[in-house]
Amino acid sequence: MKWLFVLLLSAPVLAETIQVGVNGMVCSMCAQGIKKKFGAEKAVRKIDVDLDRKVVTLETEGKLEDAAIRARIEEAGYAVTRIDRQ
Amino acid sequence: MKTLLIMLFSVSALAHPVIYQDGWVASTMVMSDMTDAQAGYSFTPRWAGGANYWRLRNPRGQERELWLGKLNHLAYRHNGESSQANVYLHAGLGDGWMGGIEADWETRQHFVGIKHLHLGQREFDTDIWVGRLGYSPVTAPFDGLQSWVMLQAWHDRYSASETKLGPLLRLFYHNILWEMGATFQGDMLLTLMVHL
Repeated sequence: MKWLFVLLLSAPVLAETIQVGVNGMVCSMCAQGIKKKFGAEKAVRKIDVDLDRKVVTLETEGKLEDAAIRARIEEAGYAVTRIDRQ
Repeated sequence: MKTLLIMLFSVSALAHPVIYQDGWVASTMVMSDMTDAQAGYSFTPRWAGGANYWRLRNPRGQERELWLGKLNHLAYRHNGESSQANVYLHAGLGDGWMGGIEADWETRQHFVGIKHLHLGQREFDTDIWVGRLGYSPVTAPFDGLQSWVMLQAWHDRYSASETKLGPLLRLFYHNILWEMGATFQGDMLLTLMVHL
């Protein structure tokens, strides 16, 4: 019972899909910086950039704070419009 | 061979003087009477430093070469919902000097850019003006091959008294940009750029 409780409260809680709305993302070559920045984050497992929807989708396997997401996007030269977690 | 080496290891006209923080950029633009080759590092999203080589040749066959340390500053950026606008400042010092300003506005399908540089050395100085209009007929996905057609106007007071006008094709794929073009006066233009 104790093991089941631990299992339910551990890994699944840390895995998230995060959608980040980004303004200014018009050039795919420049937006490579977004992939590079999040690629250096241990918590990020997969990064998808959608230029049409102006959304960066992050699949994480650890905690990634909103402040860290905003910092990585700003280091890449862009502006965050929203952060949605699923 | 010298041209090839410069192309491989060298940021040029109207393209990414400052990129993402901790990003490296190497690029060159080569025309028959001009080479602009640069390598740089963006230490913040607003500032980049690096090295810049210029070769200019005038109609009498005289050549000028400049080797400069360079600082680029993103003075203004507007990140719109579907567009981006930038103003960059350039300064360089070495066996000559340079200063300049550059502005661009782009969407996924339209590009407008202008740039002015002043280059100087002992008993020599010149002004370079570049203007570009671009259109991308196909909006490829992030990982696809991006293609642009552009019209470039180029005026260099040292190399020619007339303004050179011509079309070019810009392609980029992931972190590599390639441009091929020609002027109506018969010059070829090649640009290669890599972001690392």
